This record gives sequence, C-alpha cells and structure tokens, in this order.
Amino acid sequence: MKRKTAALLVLLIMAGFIQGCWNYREVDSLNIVAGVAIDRGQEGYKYHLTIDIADTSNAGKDKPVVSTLIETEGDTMFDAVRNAVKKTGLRIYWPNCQIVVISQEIADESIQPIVDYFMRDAEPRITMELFVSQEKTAKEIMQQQATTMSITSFEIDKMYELTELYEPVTVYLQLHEIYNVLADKGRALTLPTLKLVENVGSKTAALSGTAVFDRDRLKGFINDEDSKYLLFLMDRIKGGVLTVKAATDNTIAALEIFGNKTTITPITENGEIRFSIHTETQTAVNELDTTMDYLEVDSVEQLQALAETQLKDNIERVIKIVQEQFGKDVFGFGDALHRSDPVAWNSVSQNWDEVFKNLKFDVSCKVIVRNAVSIQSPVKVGR
Amino acid sequence: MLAKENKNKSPGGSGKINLTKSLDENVEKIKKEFDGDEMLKVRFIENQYSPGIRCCIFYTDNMVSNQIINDNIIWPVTTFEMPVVSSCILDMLKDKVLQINELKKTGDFEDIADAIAYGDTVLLAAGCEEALILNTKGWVTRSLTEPESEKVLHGPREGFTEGLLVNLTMLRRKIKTRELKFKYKEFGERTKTRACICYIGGLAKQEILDELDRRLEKFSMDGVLDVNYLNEYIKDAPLSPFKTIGITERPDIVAAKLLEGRVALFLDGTPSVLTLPYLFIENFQSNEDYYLNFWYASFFRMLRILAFFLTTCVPAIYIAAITSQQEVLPTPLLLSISVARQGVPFPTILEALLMIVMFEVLKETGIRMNSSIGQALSIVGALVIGQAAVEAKIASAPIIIVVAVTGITGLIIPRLAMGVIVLRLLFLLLATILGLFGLVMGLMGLLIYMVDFRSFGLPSFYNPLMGFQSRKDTFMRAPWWKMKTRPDGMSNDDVRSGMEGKPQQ
Repeated sequence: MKRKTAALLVLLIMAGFIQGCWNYREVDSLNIVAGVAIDRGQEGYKYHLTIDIADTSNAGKDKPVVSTLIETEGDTMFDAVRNAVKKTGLRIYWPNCQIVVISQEIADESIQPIVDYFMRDAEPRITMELFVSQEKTAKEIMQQQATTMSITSFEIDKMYELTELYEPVTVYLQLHEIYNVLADKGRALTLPTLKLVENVGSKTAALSGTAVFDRDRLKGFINDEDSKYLLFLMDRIKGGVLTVKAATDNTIAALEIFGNKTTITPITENGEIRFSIHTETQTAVNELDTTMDYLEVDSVEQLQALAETQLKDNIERVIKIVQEQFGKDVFGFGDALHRSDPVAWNSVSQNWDEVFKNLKFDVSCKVIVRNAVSIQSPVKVGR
Repeated sequence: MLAKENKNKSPGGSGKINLTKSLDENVEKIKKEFDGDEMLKVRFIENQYSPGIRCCIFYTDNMVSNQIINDNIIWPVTTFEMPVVSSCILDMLKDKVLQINELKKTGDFEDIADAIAYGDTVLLAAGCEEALILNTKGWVTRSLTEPESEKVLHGPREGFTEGLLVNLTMLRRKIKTRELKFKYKEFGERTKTRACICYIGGLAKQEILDELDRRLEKFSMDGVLDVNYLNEYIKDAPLSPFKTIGITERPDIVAAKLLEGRVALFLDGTPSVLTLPYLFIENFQSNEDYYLNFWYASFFRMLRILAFFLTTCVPAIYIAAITSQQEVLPTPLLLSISVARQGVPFPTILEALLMIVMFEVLKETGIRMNSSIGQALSIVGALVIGQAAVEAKIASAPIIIVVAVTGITGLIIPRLAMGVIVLRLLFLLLATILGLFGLVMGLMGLLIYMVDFRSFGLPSFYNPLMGFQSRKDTFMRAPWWKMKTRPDGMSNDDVRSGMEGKPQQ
C-alpha cells in the first residue's frame, strides 16, 4: 500500500515536470490566425504584418465566421507578432495559419528571416504555404473578399490544394520543403504567386504562376501556363489538362492527366553534361472538339502523336525560358546529377548556375490515351 | 454455526429457559417470550378418544400453510384412536400420527423460538419436557419474473425471488447432478437470515471455498437484508469502486458461473446472488452473449469495452483538446467549437462538471421517481437542460454532445457504473490541469492499479499465466465448440467439453 501510494505520488509529480507546452486556455480566448501578409513597414519598421484572423466573436447559427484583419509593425517578425497583442488584447494563435503572403519588396531583399521565424516558433505548423504577391503589396491580397468561402486565407489554401490535382499552375511546396530547398545547392527555390483578378465586377485573389528565387532573393516570375511544364520537368504532376491542337491551331481535344512519370537521366560524356528527359503520361479524352473520330484505333495514335509533339515543344520552350531569363536551376537537375554522378557534380557544383545556362537536353514524351470516358465516339452534327 | 455460538446471548432472549412437564406452564413461558407479538397463534387440541392426550400448537400467522396444520396436525391428533400412554406421547405422535415430512424433537427453547419465527409449527404435549418442531412453512412469495435490471431478448427469462429455497430449487432444476453442493449458513443475530454456499463438488477449488469460509467466519451483524452486506465485508479491495465479486439475479448466470468452477452465495430475502471469484472481463460479459451468434456477441462485447473507454475518456479528451492542446483539432472543428463557446460565461471545465452532474441527477431521478411521471422527466431533461441551456448560453452545444455520449456509453456497462463515474471525474480533472498528457498519466495509473487486482486469490484483471483457450471468452466470444476449457485457475478440472473441436456438419 505504501509502495503504491509512493508510486502514485512519483507519477503525479513527474507529470507536472516532464510536460511540454501546456496551459489552460479557452478556445474563445484565442485569435485564430488564418493567414498573414508581410509587407515593408512604414515609419522605419522593417516588417508590416496584416494578420487575417478567423473571427468567431460575432458568428453564430446564421452568421459565418468572417475575416478580421489586424495590422502590426516591428523590426523583426517576432517583434511584429508580439506588437499585435497591443492592439487586440487577445492571444494570437498560430497553428491554424495556412498561408503567408510575402510582398515583392520583402522577397527582393530576403525571405530567410521569415522562413526562420515560422520554422523556429513553436506554434506555426511546418505545413503552411508561402506565396509571393504579384501586386504592389501583400496586404491587398488579404483585403480582398473571398468568392465562396468567408475567410480569404482559407480560400487561397483551398485553391492551392485543389489546383495541384485539377490544373496545376505553380510549384507546390510547404514550409518544411521550402526550408530544405533553400539550403539546396542543386536546386533553386520557387514559390507560388498570387495576384488580383477581376471576378463579376470585384477583385479576388488568384494563383498565378511561379516566383523564381536566386538563393533567398526574388529573381522573377514564370506564368501559370508555363508553370505546368515546370512540374512535368520536376516530376510533380498529379493531374491537370493537356490541350491538343491541330496543325491549323484549332483545339481538337482536351486530355485529362491521370498520372505522369518523368525520368531524368544525366549523361556525362567527355566532360560534357547532358540530360535526357523522358515523360510518360496517362490520359483520357475528356473533350473532343471535332466531329472527326479520333477514337478509332488508328486515329487515336494520331491524337497521341499530336499531344506528344506539343508537350515536347512546351517542355523545351520552358527549359529555354528558365535558362535564358533566370539562369537558375529551378528543376533540381543539379540534385539529379549529384545523385547519379557525385564526382561530376563536385566538379561543377561551384559554378552550377553557369553550367546550367548552357546545358543540353534531349526531351522525349509519350502520351497514352487510355479511354474516352462516357461516350465512345465524337458528338455527331447532322444536317 | 455462528448462531449457535452466540445462542446464549442471542438478542431478545431472556436467558436459559427449560420446559417442564406441565403443558400450561410451558405455554405460558412461550407466550411470555413472544410477548407483544400478536402474530403468534396458540391453539389447544385434544384427542376425542383419549382426553388425556392434550396438545398445544404454536405458529406464526400467515407464515404457515393452514392446510397442512388442519389436515396433517389437528385432524390426526383429534380424531385418531390412540391408546393412553403414561409416558411422553411425543414419540408416538411423531412416528404414528403426524403426517409431516420433516419434524424434530427438541427440548432446546432457542430452537423452539426460532422455529416459530421461521414459519414452523411447534407442538407441545401434556406431560412432555420436549416439543416437536413441524415443518409447515408456507408463506406467499412473489412470482418468478424476469429481473428488471438484467433483461434479455433471448434465453431463459426466469429470475430469482426473495425465497432462498425457491432460488435453490431454480438452480437445482438447471444442474441435476449430485455433485451440486449446498452448505447452509446463518447470518444476522436478529434477522437470523439463512444463506447458502453453493458449488459443484468436482469443479470448485477447495482453496476458494476455504478462503470464503475464512472471510465469512468473523462476519457479525444484527441484520442482513441483502447480499451486499456480505459483499462489502468479504470482497477484495474493499475501498475500490470496482467489483471483485459478481452479483446477479438470474439462475442461468449462476448456473453458468458454477459450471466454470465458481462459487455462489445465496441469501434468504433477496434475489441477488454473489458469485466469486470475479474476473474484470465479467463486467463486459452478458449472459445473452452465450445465447446468440458468436459474431454478434463478439462485436457487442468489443463495443462494450470501447464504451468503457469512451465513457471515461471522452470528457477528458474534449477538455484537453479545447483548453490545452488546441493543435490537435482540425481548423473547421476548432472554429465551430470556438463559435459555440462564444458568450458562455463559464470556463469549459465548470461547464463539463455542471453537465455531467446534471446527467447523473437525471439518471438517478429516473431510478428513484415514480415511474408514472417519466414523461415529465424527459421533457425537463431533454428540453430544459439540453436545449434551453445552450440557447441561454449557460452551456455550449459541444459539451451537451460530449455529456450525452458519455452518459449513453456509460449505460452499456451497468456493472462498472460506480468505477466509471470516479474515473471520468478523475480523468477530467487531470486533463484540466495537464491536458492530454494528464489523461495518459491517468490511464497509466489505472493500468497499474488494475494489474494488481485479485479476487479470492485469482488475478482478476491480468493473468500472466492465462492460456489461449481462456482468451476465447474475453474480447471475443468463440463458438461453443471452440471453447474447450474453463477460465484458467478457476476450477479443478479445466476441460469443459469432450468435443473434437470441430463442428459436425
């Protein structure tokens, strides 16, 4: 009995000490952060944060939870976050923060302090997403009313998640991946970008392509159409649409991508490095814009051949753009070389950017049409 | 045995009384002893042929069968032609006249007094220093009904009543072997309640029987009205809210337990019967498990075990998740709980305690109140306490759901009722102070506490020697042809069935 009591006491006392973070705090006393926009501060401060709070205080049965914005400034990220308490009097609660929008001005300077703060602080999750605003400030993005959801940040997060599966427009990375890519010598960082677009008379935030970084500084943007081929090169395609055009430039079919496998093989010959790129895409005909039957055994091969050529052209075009405009290896070819031939990599890693600009690529594409979904022939137009 | 030792200082007795040869004197003595008890009936009878044969019978009104007294005692004594004997006529009456199956000649006044109080008839005869105790018991008992607290959909429906012998008969009818043993005992100096220890000779372990005897030996109370009087005195872990002795009102359960080698303790005046040793898993077993398809039984047994965790942990998990570790909640859930909590003035823990206590109040009211006002209770319970409290922002909607889940799951395992309430509150407080960590600590503490549990020498929660066969009746209920042995360590003979272990198609 004595031993039992002693054991119980030890357990209870230990429980108090070896606990990590704990605190009794009511949910309604928290300001649940949904997202944050980071701009250059005014009045000498370095950072100006616009924090998007999911405001539950007035919500109820018929009233949804709405966005409330809080602005705060500080010389460091942490300083700025703590200064927010001055204005609200409520605790700012980070774990539900989904997105961080960084203005071009801050991105031009460095995103390193921002990544550090969000990785280091105990509350924010490492699965949050970083965006670069293509508008003048990041705040503008936060200020826009969301179209279908009541909280802008959550809508942007949803857009980000779903476009990856249905129509990829940028390179998809979470904070912990950004942290790793930032330290990677064989790959340059890319972040998704946001801009404002017109939607039935008002403006709303939309995903629009990719921001390319030189180390931790913004270098430039790739548009959303080209970003898709960026993903083909990075072997990160999970879904999307391939539009097939006839020689006459009319669209003839839309293929839905079910899966894609890109193989990148570095080839080193006589000290020269080349890359062989092969993509294999599984698709289905989801739309046929012509009465010509492309679904016959022979003609489906024509369709595949057309899609293959067009995909190859696009991939080569995007490689060229990246090589010429940015000169930064956003694809991670350096990493691929590092993995397959470390010796060759060691000899070129010091001036990889220069080597990358002049790399040669052999691109080959294979598009496989697996089915035509619900109807097996084109829609016929009678007289 | 116990009663005999205390005979001379038996309460109510006025010391040693001896019968004399004078009938009138003896009658006066007994009347004096039962002074103030107007239920005592005294009747003088005389033989019509031999006026010298004069007797007097004593019995307690309504505790005897009038027909037996009239037809088998009064009629033969008054009408039979009997020779006049000079000595005591009791032997002659006993052997030749009285038509009573069970009778006893005694001169012990205590026995006589006890017999009258227990529904026997005492016959005194002129010129005799002794008396005859005649078995004429015949009181009215409740009819056999299904126990309210242990109803089943399938299987035997009879339940024990308050009569000891009726109950023993019910058991005897189920187990027709001479191996079935009954040992009478008596408890309560004033109530003189008869009890019976019942077991199957070839199965029950002698150690368990000896241990039971040892524990009962020192029991002494003036009144024993229910088996729980004994239960609390003899159970292992006497301060624990968990059971270490089983209680049931069903003959089929008792029969099944005896067949597993357990021992049953019956008590007169209550339909509840103690069965021991008691394993922790019995809290989750139901007799219906054995009468229904084994898939069905296994599923519901696992559901009951899940219910145990739900009913003890759900409030604690809720409190921990919304006051300490909000990170574990998905964003939409966090937002909706936050919305629901808006404007509620109390901290969540107070809200939870309030609602849990309120639920227990409703439950207790449901048991105590007159059943005809049940509808009023459900209206007050559901509408006022549930809906109105949420609308008036006294409590938030999630806490009502949490308490409802807790309450409903608690009702699935009625045998753990008390332990569950204690654990629920303990875990709730731990979770308030230490969050999820506190809950895990609480569960670990519970495990340490339970592992040590024993019932009459048998590990009741965790038996390290438990073989695979015994596990066939724990989380799952294996088909009958698979369950070839009894629970380990429970009985002298482990093998239950001689079947090949294969069903015969």
